[in-house]
Amino acid sequence: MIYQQLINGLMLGASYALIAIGYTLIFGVLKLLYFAHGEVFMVGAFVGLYLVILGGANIYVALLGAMIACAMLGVIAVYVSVRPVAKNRPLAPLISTIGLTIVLQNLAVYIFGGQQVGFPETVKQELYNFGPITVSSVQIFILAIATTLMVVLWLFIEHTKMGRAIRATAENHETAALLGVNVNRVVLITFMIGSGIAGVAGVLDGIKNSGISPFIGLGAAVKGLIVMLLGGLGNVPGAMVAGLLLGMIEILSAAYIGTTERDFFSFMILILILLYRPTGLFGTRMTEER
Amino acid sequence: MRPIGNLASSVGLATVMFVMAPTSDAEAAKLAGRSVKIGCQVSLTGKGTEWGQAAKAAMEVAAEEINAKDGIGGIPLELICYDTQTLESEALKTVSRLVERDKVLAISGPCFSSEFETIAPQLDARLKTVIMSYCSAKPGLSAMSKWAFRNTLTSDKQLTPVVEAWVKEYKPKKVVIIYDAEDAVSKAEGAIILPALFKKHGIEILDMLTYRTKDTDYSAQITRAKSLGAQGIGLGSCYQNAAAIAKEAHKQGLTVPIIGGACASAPGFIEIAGKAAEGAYMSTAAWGDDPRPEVQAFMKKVVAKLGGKQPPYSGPRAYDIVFAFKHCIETTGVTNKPSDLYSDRDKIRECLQGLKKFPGVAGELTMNEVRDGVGVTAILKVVNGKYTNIAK
Repeated sequence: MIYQQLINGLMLGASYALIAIGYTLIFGVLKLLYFAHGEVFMVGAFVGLYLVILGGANIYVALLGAMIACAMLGVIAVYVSVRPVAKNRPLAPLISTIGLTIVLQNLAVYIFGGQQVGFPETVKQELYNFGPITVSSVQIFILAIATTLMVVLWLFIEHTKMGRAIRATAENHETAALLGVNVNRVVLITFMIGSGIAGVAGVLDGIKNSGISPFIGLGAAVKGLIVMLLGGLGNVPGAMVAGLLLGMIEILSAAYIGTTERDFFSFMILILILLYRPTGLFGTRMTEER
Repeated sequence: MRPIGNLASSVGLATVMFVMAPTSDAEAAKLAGRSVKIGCQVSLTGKGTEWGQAAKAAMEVAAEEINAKDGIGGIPLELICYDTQTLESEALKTVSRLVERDKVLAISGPCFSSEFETIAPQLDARLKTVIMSYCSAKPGLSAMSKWAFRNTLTSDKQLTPVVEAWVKEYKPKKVVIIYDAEDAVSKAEGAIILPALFKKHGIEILDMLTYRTKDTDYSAQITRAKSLGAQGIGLGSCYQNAAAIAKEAHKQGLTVPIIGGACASAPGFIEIAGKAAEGAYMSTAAWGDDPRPEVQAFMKKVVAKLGGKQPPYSGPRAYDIVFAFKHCIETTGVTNKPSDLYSDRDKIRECLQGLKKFPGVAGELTMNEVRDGVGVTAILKVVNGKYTNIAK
């Protein structure tokens, strides 16, 4: 059973990692806890669902559509809740993104209704047996998409001009600007990337859990936050590994200790990290500023 | 002094009026005030959405029908509804608002047992107003207060025939129970009612696994059930979680029969679970397949209000509550005067306590000694993507 549970953990962890990447990217660049990120994840799930059930789209079109829609939502978020807010008051953008969270959730309830809706079977269900492990086509699909996204993002951050600009902006806005980086543009693109990935994560979550509701954002946001802290603030590879780690811990604790205690372990880890390793397991570039 | 002739004619007129005095509900004396206020608590958001939407639509249908026929005691019925968000705190807040600010005569709701058991301890000391739930099924809750009523059958009564039919068809020897440790009725079903019923049928319980209401991932529980060799899954679960569990089992290739309790039986279970719902058994406290014209007329109206969706049992049960209130208001001397508010509420309580074979779309309603409804239940089985009542 342990191997099967590890596969379950990997699946859950991949979902957490995708949410946390957006969080940590945005935190890295703006030093901002972007609370609305969970709601962007929820919007992505609904965009994917409606593309499938109303537009008759296949799952790849649904993923792309959710990514584009959420990237646009990221742009709107920058213009509505980040740029207009006074930068010399550190709490102001935090509060404004909480406001955006409430607006997005209420809009979703108004548009989609308050109840959970089923996510149609978009990936043909087949089971593959590898010794004691059974892996489904759905699990393989989700893992493949999540891994591809993470690798592409890592390559983008590490090996492209824009990736360098994002890293430079994350180090220091003023120095990056002096070196010719258009910081406003970098912030905008970071929001687009982070939100786009959250949109894909929302659709994958819909496929994985078979249902979505306007209230899935909060839980996703909390888990994303824990993963970000675990992986190190602003540390993208850290978020990837920490996501998988948290997924494994939750599933194994649910399987061998108690299914209702899984959140206890998540939050215990959060507290321990904050107490004994505030830079996260994999460190952060912003140690001095924090 | 008044002339005797006039006195005699007055007495004669009074006698005639007495003889012709209203004896039926429809002929009741006109009540004071502009409207009869009845409160309703519905879960329009959160885990109880489908239950709450159906109940609200059904109560609106009842109010429309009543108001089309001179209302209650000659004045219109005014339904004052609040969304409890399926949260205990909101349920308590809205019941206080209905009792203290809106000054309603009685309240239909709340839906969930978790909400009901939060409110019930406040009734005797503070609220002193009837609440009558149209969904709640956890055993023992109405006994908490003389003001607490439910026209539903409790889960143990609902599940007994369902487990029997499920065992008869699938013959499982060993099962796993998965239940929501945070939801009152689900916990009662998963931790107490289902284990007792399974043991009665000689079924071994391999493990009892829990989850929390907001959980979305059930892979660990299903992997465990599969590794233990479960031949069936008993669910103490609301429909969203039940559907996600059924789908997870389907994804992991665990194709064993499922049985669920009161909260799982909403049609949303089939909508979300799809093929994974096929063959599942559910208990229910009412089902709209009764061929009586009044039941079918009600179902037609409520399904139209719900955009074509079939209501779970909260629909017919909530509809019946409004008519039970109407009956009690019109037959017990309720005046609807603000000065009589407390005595009016008490008259309604006494009347409801004594209800016997009161006709309704969910069947005849009789209150037992602890103010729960008694009567027959349906046995629902998912056949070709639809609930079918196999109790007939």
